[in-house]
Amino acid sequence: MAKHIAIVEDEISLAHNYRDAFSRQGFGVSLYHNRKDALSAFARELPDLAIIDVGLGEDIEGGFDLCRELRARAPALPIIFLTARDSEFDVVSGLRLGADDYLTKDISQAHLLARVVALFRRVDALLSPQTAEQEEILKRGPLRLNMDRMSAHWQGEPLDLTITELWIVYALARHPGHVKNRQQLMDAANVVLDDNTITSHIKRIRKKFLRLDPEFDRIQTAYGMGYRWDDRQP
Amino acid sequence: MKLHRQLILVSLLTLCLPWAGCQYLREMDSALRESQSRALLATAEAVANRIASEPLLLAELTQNAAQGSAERQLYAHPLPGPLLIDGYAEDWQHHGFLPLRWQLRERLLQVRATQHQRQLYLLVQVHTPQVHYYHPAMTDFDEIDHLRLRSLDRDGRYRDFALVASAPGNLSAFDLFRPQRPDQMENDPFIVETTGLSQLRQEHAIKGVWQETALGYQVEMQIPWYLTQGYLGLAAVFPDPQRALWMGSFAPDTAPAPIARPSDSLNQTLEVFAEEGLRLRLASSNQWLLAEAGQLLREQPLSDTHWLSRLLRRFLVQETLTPADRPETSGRLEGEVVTQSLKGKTASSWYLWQGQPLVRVAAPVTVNGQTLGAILAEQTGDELAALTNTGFRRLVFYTLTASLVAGLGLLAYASWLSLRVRRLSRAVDSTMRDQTTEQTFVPSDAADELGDLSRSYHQLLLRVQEYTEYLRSLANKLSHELRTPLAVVRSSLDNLDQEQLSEDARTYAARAQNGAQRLSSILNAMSAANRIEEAIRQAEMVAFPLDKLLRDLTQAYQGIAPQTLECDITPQQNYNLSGAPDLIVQMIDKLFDNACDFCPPDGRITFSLWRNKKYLHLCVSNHGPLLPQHMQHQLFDALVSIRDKSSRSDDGKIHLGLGLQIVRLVAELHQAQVIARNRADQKGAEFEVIFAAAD
Repeated sequence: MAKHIAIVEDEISLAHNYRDAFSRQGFGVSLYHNRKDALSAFARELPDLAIIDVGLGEDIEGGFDLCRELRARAPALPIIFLTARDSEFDVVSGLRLGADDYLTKDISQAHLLARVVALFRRVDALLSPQTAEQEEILKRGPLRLNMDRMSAHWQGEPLDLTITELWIVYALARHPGHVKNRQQLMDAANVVLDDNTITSHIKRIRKKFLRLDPEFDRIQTAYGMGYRWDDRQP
Repeated sequence: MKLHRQLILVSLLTLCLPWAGCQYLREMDSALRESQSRALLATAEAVANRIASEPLLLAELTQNAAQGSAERQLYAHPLPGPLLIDGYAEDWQHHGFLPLRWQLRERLLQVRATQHQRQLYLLVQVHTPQVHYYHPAMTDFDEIDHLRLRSLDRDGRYRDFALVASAPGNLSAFDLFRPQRPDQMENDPFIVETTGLSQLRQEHAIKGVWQETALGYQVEMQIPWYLTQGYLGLAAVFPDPQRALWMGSFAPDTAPAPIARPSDSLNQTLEVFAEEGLRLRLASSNQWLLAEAGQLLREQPLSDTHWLSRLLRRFLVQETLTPADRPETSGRLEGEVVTQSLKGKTASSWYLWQGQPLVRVAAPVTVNGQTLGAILAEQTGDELAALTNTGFRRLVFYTLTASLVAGLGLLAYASWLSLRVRRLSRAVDSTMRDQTTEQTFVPSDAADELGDLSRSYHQLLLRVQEYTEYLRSLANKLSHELRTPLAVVRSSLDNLDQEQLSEDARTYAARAQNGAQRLSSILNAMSAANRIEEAIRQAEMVAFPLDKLLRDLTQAYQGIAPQTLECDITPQQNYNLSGAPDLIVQMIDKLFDNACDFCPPDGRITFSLWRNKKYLHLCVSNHGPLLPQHMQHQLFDALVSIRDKSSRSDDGKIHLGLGLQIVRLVAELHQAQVIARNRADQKGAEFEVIFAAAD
């Protein structure tokens, strides 16, 4: 059964473009142009994934409100913010509301699709808890990354990483000690971002690790070059 | 010239107050003088009229001695008591009478005359190289030094006396009685030549003492008034081998001149009019002092005056007065006032008399249109002086005080004004300098023009700040607004990729995709400053070694840029800094970018780090063009790019002037100071960031 994606976007031509792209990949797509329409539709039936713009016409914070209500109704529903607003504050707000990812609109379709696919993979993995033998698992000391399930664990504890963050951690941890510059990290995370966004991503990732382990210092900065995963044996 | 100095100069204008006061005083002074001299003139005219109306008094004025030429006249000064006839001049000296003088080369004759109670006293001083005394063997008086007197007898005939001495001591007076007038010559039997010298009668009423002096001799003598009949000529005879030399008020063949002397009756008349402080004098038509009455008041004037007011008075008020002459020593009344009045006009003038101003007025004594004499009235300006002096002192005090107060007031006012102006200009300066902080300029609430100026500045600065704010947010807003349409373009192009397209169409689509990509990166660059500001707000300060960071960075930069890179870190120093390393890296990135853009490929970019006491100096210096002078303090503002066309790099990178703004923002976060300047060797520019060290 085709996955059903709901796109809530006030810019109609953009919404149509996304719909075309997703339809081409075999997803079912519904378009909503404002919060009200979207909510009434979600009341009838929940989609498998929601892509929401933050500003919805006059309703400049409409996306956030919608996300909050949607999350209240469906705790496991993957939600992606796709917006022109790229301020750190918006990113943090969006992620705090329970969005699974926060993307700016200059992301290419290929990257967007990759992300959607990855998200679905994570959802599917949650739905089928038994672990298959052939799953790709990366272990680096206390770190355990399952790229099939799109999940990460540190010292056995699950880490709540967004897809972008997960890809960044994966890119770093795959070759410990190697410095990954920002461009490499962007490529790995399927995003085109500026340096500061990568920096703030790294910062957020570090914080998430630190929340589990106050001693965490595996992600190191190589000034002017990038970051590396420090895999020293304790 | 500074404002307060200008106002001090202006305050000097108040010094015209004393000047104006002095002018007023001077006018008052002259008005008072005018009225005083007018009152005095009235008195003088009254005296003149009194004399003119009294025949007895007029007779005194019309006597021979008072008319005609005064040239050869002796003036008998009045004496209060008799003189001791001893041949010495001491008792004359303290009277200070001026002598009549005749002089011929080394020979000199001086005669002084006084009278007391019908006695005439003469002091005769003669300078001559050698004195020849009388001796009985001589045949002619011309052989010896002697004095000749000539007077008239009751009948108007000449009466001559030869005064001789055989040695210093008493002299002998021989009555020559030799009439010389031609009409008398015939019937007069007494001729000197016919009688012998020894037969001449001695006149014992004439007493005198002959004394020798260093320069000649002097004779003091006493002659009863009746022998003179009011006429007396005196001559000194110097013996000479050829012809005896005569010198004096008469020659052998001239008549004696009348003796001028004060008149008792006139004196009494004047005495009636004289009052305290008023001196009256009567001048004959030949200017002899005929009568005098009254005393001038003599006070200690101006002695209590402050030196300052005396000085100012001298400068401002008192015109220079000529000293008054002293007729009592010469017996003559000289001067413009006297001569004017003797021509029949009234006259007045001011003199200086013993340090006091003295007014002298003169009124003619006129009978039937003929001027017979003049009354002189004199008065000191004492009361006047006292009045104006007090006034002057007060005036000086008040006006100087007023000037001082006005000057100090103006000075204080000027200081206050210039303080306000300075404060305003400082406030504007500082607001202009740190545009980053919130509006710090506090407008004045003063109601005057300076307050208006301050408020106008406030408005202006607010506008400038709004404008700057707008510029700063413009990039961010623009990138935000453009992102959605760009997303439409890009997603459309992505979709187009999936369609069946001809080869040409695919090329175009690829170009459009490429263009959209570039547009996207431009938008990212534009919002970078904004994101940095966000990052700064969320920055966490940690202590880290700045030298390690810089070393890592320069290593990372190697190979990126074609220029030669150099890292010059002064060793053995503590470079710990408390800050956000990520942001500092970005700041150095921007400085490096900037240096790369301006440095020619064969140039050199130097990173240096040193420590100066508590400050860490980080400097990025590059070869290349110099900074334009006029934009140096705008360098760190948003959207200001100072590169000119020729130095624009060809890499297609865009320069929105955001890089250095980021530098500024990061520096501000660390409370560091950024300085952009040309290198000391003028071969390029350098940017220096000064941090406070962590320890």
